[in-house]
Amino acid sequence: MRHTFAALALATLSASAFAADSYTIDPAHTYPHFAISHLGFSTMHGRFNSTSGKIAMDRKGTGSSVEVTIATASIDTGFQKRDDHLRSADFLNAAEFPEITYKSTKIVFSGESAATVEGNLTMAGVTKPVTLNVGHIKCAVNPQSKKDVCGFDATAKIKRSDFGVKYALPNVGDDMALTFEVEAVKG
Amino acid sequence: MNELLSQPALQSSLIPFCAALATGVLLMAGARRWAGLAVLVGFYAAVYPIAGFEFAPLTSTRKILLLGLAAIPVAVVLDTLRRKARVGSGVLFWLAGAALLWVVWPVVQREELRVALALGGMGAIYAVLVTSFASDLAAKPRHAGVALLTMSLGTGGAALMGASALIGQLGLALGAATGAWLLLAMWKPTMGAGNTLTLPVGFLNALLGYGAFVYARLPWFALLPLGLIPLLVRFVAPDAKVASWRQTLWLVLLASPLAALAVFLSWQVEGAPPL
Repeated sequence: MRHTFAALALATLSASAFAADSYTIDPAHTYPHFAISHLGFSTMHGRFNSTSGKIAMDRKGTGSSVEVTIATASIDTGFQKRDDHLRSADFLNAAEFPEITYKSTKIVFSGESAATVEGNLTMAGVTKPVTLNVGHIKCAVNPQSKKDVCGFDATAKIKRSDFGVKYALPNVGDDMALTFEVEAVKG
Repeated sequence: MNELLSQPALQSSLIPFCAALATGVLLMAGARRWAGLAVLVGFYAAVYPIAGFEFAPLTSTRKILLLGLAAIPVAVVLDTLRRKARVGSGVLFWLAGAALLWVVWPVVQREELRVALALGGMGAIYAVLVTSFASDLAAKPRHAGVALLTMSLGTGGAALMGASALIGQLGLALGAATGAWLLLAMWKPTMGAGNTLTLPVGFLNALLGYGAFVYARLPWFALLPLGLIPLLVRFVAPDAKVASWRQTLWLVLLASPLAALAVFLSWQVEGAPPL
């Protein structure tokens, strides 16, 4: 009897493990962007050029997950001196905190092409919960590479001061609008 | 008022200068031996609007500020015991080196062994030398004031060019506070410097300078002229026949080019500050 239960449990575990499709983030098509007020004059946009991670897609179960790692030093606002400043101890402190990470804790799908991702963002040594609003989910075969690809756009809002990045407040804004364009290849 | 306090220029100049001046006048009246504390009061008065007083997570900059605070009671004890920081306290300077290593450890630990040894070793040596050179000036108030003033302004200016406005502001604030102390020392030539001034301020300069090299883009060779300032000033003998203000001016003219050189080198490599 005990062996039967063990076999059943193993089979169930194996089944659920295979329910989620695993995808590896495509760094060439995945870019986190941010927008922040600059002295109230304009909204400055920037992005991070180096991202990696894994996505698990399980629409029918609870096995979906997102894990993203962003190279802090890859920040790019189009102006070298400002990028150096943003990498310094004043802001993101890339030398001390070389990675920004996001790990999901819960994903809820709304229909075929939308979802809400709850998770933890770790930036400058501080971890805070951040919810991503995901839209435009598409999973299909890439007609060029012939590989299974899943892609989506996601947005979120954070306050940089929540992560201890307080330099130049309030002149440089506290509110940051985050936008993620993500593509991941199966496997 | 908040808008005024958020102006970087004000944070790094007027706030520390006025706080140091007011504290110095009070200390001169009743506790002249601790007059050096006025510089630290002025500095940390500026730290609040510049960087705040949170210490979690313990980032490199916060470690620097914490270590500066820790150096104060050590210096006060030394002055209470009326001991020279160097005599029987060589270990103190090696502690300064170890403290700097703690500040840069997050970067050092990720490097391969050869680079880690160079990075950590250079930093420890810089902290040891700068702190001990500064401490040697404890008995010469004008020399100490000028050396620490120019070193702080040079560190702040070079850090600003090296893409860290935060460390730049902290260095400049330290300079402004030291400037206030120096004015009082010129007014009251009998005012002593002591370890209370030289140890924590010299130590902070070492931490800020090397921190700007590791965590921003201050070129390492810009630290060399900064480290030489207290050593150079030390070799100028005080002259009782010359008026206090003249001696101070002469010392400033001697030390300033080294500070200017550090700023120039940083500017040459990195360009204009990140404004």
